[in-house]
Amino acid sequence: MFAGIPAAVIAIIYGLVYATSSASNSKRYRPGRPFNQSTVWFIANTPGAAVAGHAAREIGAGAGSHALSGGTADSGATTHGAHHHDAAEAGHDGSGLTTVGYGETGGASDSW
Amino acid sequence: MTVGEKSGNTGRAEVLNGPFTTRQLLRLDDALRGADESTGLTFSVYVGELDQPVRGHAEKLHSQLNDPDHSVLVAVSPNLRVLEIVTGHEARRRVPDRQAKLAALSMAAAFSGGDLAGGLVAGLAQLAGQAGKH
Repeated sequence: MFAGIPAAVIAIIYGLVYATSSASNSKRYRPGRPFNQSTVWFIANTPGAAVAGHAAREIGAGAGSHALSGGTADSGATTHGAHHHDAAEAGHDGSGLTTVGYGETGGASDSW
Repeated sequence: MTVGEKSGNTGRAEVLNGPFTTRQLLRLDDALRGADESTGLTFSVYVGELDQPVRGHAEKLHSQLNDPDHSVLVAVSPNLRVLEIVTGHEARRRVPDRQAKLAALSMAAAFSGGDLAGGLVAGLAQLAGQAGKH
């Protein structure tokens, strides 16, 4: 009895803590581990903020990244010509730490 | 608001299967709305798979926004561990590439610690702060 009751209490507490933490961390991103969550795309909930484009609407409609593949299988150079050629050339030098600057769009790239 | 919500309720269900908890979604919503309202630009966040070339895919997504010239897209691929910030023609004047790079660095630092939502919120705040009031 003196060993069984404390052991049972410990087991119950351990079970509760483990169940709670595993449930709350199920969505947590862990770098280096496969990331299998749905693709999400957000814009602010303001009037006039909308997306034009068939593929974009499909993202949130349940098709996930597969919906994008139809619209982006030829993404990059073939669709928008020189614009994306520039992007590919200026974007990555292997380190993933380059600043991209060219053409109509700007921005930056990074990796971790 | 997800992009997909425009096409029906399935977008709402889909977003709950995404990488963020409800609390994180609320933080992101606040960050996006605050950034939009203070700057007059449209900020957008994409988290998911990006095809190669990553930059090309991010720019394609950016071009699908309603007003790409005044839009800033933050595209993150957790699997590839890369992020892209795409600024439109006008947005780029407000957020120079150098400042975008600083925001990208801070976001990447948070992402490397596993904090997607925190990194995005901080990055959006940094980008909005740089863009200034409209």
